[in-house]
This record gives sequence, structure tokens and C-alpha cells, in this order.
Amino acid sequence: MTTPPGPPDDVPPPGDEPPAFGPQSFEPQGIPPAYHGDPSAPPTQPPGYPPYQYPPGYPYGPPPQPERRISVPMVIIGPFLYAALNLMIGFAAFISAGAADSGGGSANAVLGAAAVLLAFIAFGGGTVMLFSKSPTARGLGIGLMVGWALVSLVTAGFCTGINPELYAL
Amino acid sequence: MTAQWHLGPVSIGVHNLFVALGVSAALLVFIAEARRRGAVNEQSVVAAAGALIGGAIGMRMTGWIRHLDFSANPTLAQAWQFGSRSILGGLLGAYLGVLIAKRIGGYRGKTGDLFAPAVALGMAIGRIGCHLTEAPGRPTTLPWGIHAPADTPECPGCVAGVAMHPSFLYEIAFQLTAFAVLLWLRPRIGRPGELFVLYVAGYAVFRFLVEFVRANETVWLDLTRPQWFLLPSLLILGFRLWYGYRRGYYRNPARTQEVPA
Repeated sequence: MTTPPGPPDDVPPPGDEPPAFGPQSFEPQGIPPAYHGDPSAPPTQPPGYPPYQYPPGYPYGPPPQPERRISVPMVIIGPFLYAALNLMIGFAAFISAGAADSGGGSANAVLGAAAVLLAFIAFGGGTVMLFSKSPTARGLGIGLMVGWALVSLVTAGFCTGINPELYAL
Repeated sequence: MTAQWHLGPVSIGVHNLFVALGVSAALLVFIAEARRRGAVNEQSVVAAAGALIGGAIGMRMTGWIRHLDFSANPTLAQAWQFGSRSILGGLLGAYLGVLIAKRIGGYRGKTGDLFAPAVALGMAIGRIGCHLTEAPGRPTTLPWGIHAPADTPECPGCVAGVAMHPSFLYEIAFQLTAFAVLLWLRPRIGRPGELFVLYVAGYAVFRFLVEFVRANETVWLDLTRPQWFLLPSLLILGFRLWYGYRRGYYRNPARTQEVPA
């Protein structure tokens, strides 16, 4: 036979339970108690003021998104567009330089003009687009400049008309 | 004549191929790092664009100020055409490009930490092209000295057939080590931008030392042009590291420190 368990030691004797609200036994005595208040009471509206209109979704709605200034897809498309332009202008420059060389003209001048034209398209056109307010145009402007940089880095300048060997025709 | 590899009818410049691979690898690491840090946003795109544009222009324009005697330097147009493809010029141009692009775009956040591991890996790959096509280094009697083809440009040691320091392999080893160390440091340094500062400082020290075995021309007091460029840079970087150390930038973030029981 076992004896039934008695009440646990940490249970206060009857009559000593702390009240649900109001001053607690662990609070310092002799000073005004902390306000525990009624949690269900709504905040009162000062008389004479119109009721405050909270924004839609408050307080759990998503934060406002920052304004989009650049189209990232256009930054990616820009280098491909520049590479296509570069191919066409470079090819035309090669043909023209060959014709100029055989005709007694200066191939270097033709290739130099092509290099200037390509840089103008990338940086001139790109800068103009950057001043636009359209995110699409801004993204494309950055993309054109990135295209010039990538083609210049990857081909050591061959396709941008700034390759030394190209000028040694 | 630059070294070429032939893939059927297509000829590919070896140096250019590895530059392309290096830039591609750097872009991939940059994107992965931006995703990991939750920084796939307009500022990162603008910073990457600024780095690419500034780096490409910087590499070209380094030759413009090659000589202290300005009459010996090429004109701006000539430098634009025959740029020297300098890595140091590219790094400086990329740094300035990021600053200018962010200033124009009105972005204030730090982006250097996104670039640090990307640049290290990209340069490790790009230097393979240098190793295969350029003068490897100064003559040496060390057992790991290498020989290079006699038609390598600007390489008297290649013509003489002597063994030379594989200086580009030293740099590849440094960049791969730096890449691994940066990945290890990533969660340990919480201060934004400090990974990049540490990488640049480490590379500046390494580059200054490795120049003693590179095949670059010495211009004054047996130091090369990159070393003269690096001397003041090292002073600035040393001051910056000291400042960061005093300010506690390189201490572990509190959340990773163990609390004794």
C-alpha cells in the first residue's frame, strides 16, 4: 500500500493566491503599484477629433516597396544587344578597311572611326539613357556600357576596334 | 603574335580565353554571394556594372601614365587603342567605377564584400592565361624553375633557354588561398566592407613581393613600376588596417562567441 501524494510544497496555502491584477506580492510595497490595466479596453478617442484612419493592412500589411529605378532584365539584355551591334559594325569596318587599304586609303582611319562609333554607342547612348526616368531605358543604358566592357575584356579589345594587331593591317 | 588554340576552324586567343573564363567565374561568384547575403538588388547590379566598366577602362588607360616623363607616354588615343591590360589598373578602375556608379545611383551601402571572393577566384583563373602566354619570371636555379617557348614576347630568358620563376603560378596559389580564406572569414567578420579591405591589403603585399621574381622591367632602385605604384598604396592600406583593428572591425561578432558556463 502506498500513501496518496500530498499537495506539492510550492502551492501557497488557501487565501494567499496573488490577485489576477493589481499589486503583486513581489512588487515593492508602500509605493503606488504598477498599472496592469484592463487589456481588453480600447484606447479612448479624445473628444472633438475625427477617428484616426489606419493605412490598409495595418499593422500586419507588407512594408511599402521602394520605387524601382532600374530594370535588371534590361541590364542583362543590354550586353547582348551591344554584342550584336558590335558584330555588325565590326564586320562592316573590316570590309571597308580592306577596300580602303587596296584603294590606297588608310585602313587605320576606318577602323579608328568604327572604334569611336562603338564607344559612342555604348557610352554616349548609355549616358543619355541613364538620364531618362524610365527604368527600362536606364537598365538598357547600363547594359550597353557593360556590353562594351565585357567585349573589351573578353576579346582584349578586338571587337571594340582597339586591338593592336587589328591596327597593324 | 599572341598564342592561339585551334578548335577546328576557330582560333581562340589563349590569354583572352582565360580572361573570359575568369570574368565569367567572378560574375557567378558575385551572384552567388549576393544571393547568399540577400543582396540581389539594384545596388548590387549598379556596383557590378561600375566594376566591369571601370575595370575595362582602367586596364586600358594604365599605359597612359606609364612614364614619369610625360613626353614618353602615349597619347590618350594611343593608350585607348594599345592599352596594357594591367591588372592593377583594372582593380583601381573597378574600385573607382563602383564608387562613381553608386554615387550616380545614390546608393550608400557597402558592396566590397560581394566582390572580394569573386575577384580572387576570377584572377586565379585569368592568371592561367598569363602563365601560358607571357614571360613567366626572372631566371632562377631553384628546382621548380620552368622554361618557356623562345617566341614568348619580351622574354630574354626564354630566348636564352634558362629556367625561370613560375611567378604566375605563385599568384594562382595566392589567389586560391585567398579565396578559401575569404570564405572562412566570411561569417567571422561582421563589419561590412572589411573582407574587401583585407583582400586588397593581402594582394598588395603579395604583389609587391612577387614582383621581385616577375619579368617586369625595373625602372628605379631595382623596383618595377607596379612596386612603385604599390608603395604608397601599402602605406594607405596599412593605415586603414590599423584603424580598423583599433576600432574592433576584425573581432568576432558577439553571437558567435561562446559564453563560459
